[in-house]
Amino acid sequence: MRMEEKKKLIIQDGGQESEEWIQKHFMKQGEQTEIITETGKIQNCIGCFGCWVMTPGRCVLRDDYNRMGEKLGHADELIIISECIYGTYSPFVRNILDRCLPYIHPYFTKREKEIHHKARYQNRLKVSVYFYGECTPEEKETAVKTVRANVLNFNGILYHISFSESRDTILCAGEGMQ
Amino acid sequence: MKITMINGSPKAKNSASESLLSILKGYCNLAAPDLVLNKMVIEEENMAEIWKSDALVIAFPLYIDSVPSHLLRCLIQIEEYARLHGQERTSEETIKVYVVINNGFFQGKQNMPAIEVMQHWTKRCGFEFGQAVGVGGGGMINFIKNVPDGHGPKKNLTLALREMAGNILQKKSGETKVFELNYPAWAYKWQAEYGWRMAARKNGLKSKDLNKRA
Ligand SMILES: Cc1cc2nc3c(=O)[nH]c(=O)nc-3n(C[C@H](O)[C@H](O)[C@H](O)COP(=O)(O)O)c2cc1C
Repeated sequence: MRMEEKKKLIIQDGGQESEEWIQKHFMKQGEQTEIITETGKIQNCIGCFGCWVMTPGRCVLRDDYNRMGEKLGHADELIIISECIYGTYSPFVRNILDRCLPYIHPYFTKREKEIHHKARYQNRLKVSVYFYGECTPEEKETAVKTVRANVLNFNGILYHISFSESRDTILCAGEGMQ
Repeated sequence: MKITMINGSPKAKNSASESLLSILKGYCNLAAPDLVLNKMVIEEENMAEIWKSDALVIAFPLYIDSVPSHLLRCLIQIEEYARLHGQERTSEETIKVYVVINNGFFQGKQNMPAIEVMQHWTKRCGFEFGQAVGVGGGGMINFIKNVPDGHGPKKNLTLALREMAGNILQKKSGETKVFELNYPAWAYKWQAEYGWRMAARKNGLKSKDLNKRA
């Protein structure tokens, strides 16, 4: 039996000029990888819930980022590379995450004693987050809480979270902290 | 004293954030319209209003456990402005920040990471943090507008917003309050799910279409 190819989704805020570097360091042979990059126009979520009740599973806004639900639904691994700002992600990465609402289902379920949304897909994403940029210890703490909450929200599994001073030192930041 | 109420929901109409601000405005005896930040950029005249304020009251919905991305872009713009113009204000005149977040899930404590983000932002701007309120069950807020203050599902909300209004008027700080509406979780779940089915039907879909994978 042939093993199915693993699918990796990378969301990153370094623009198109960083793609080559990412391909070099984050892509492996035998894996399908897609990089989500800021290419130009991205719209912000307008809170219409069309992705739940109009075209379930797909965002109704017309730009290059309206299929994030399906993309997450068909991936095994999610890697986020983001500047850490005030203890959260950079605006582009936050924008993408807001547009990921179609990944989840409107119905509620209980997870770790908290109420969350039911999953629309059966996959459980293995999530790694590489933060970079200058941030205070308090901001780091908030960022860790945010990532944990996101992983629970998306019914994923947290695999790696790290902070480094700059994008260039991301890979020195160590592997696999839980 | 100039108090500016900012609605950070991207929804054009009927946002829960707007309802929460209108309750607060009632308690503060304020009539000025909200400053709406539903775009990625703050226009110049709005930035000037913000900068002239003694207190900012920022209301927004929780988006994927954080601050909606368009609002985050606006916050960065305010920080940049504050860095350029900071010396125009003395430390006694610093802007006091109050935050009201609502979220769709039942539990208000899920707003904590976003409250902390607002605190870190306040610090980076050189402003002072006043108080934060995080209320769960946001999907119901617009439906209880006519419930009298302090009654039924509004009990916790009235207490928290009255306290916050008192603090705003005196430019005082207060403890963070995260809580739920006084309403059973099972009923909230039932109503929300019923609401999604109805909304889907209105769009010509069947209930089971809610499970579609695009
Ligand atoms: C893109 C998006 C992401 C959301 N993420 C969350 C979330 O992580 N947790 C939560 O409790 N509610 C979440 N919600 C629900 C909103 O917080 C809720 O609907 C809120 O009442 C909207 O407030 P508003 O009417 O002021 O915009 C999300 C809604 C949208 C549109």
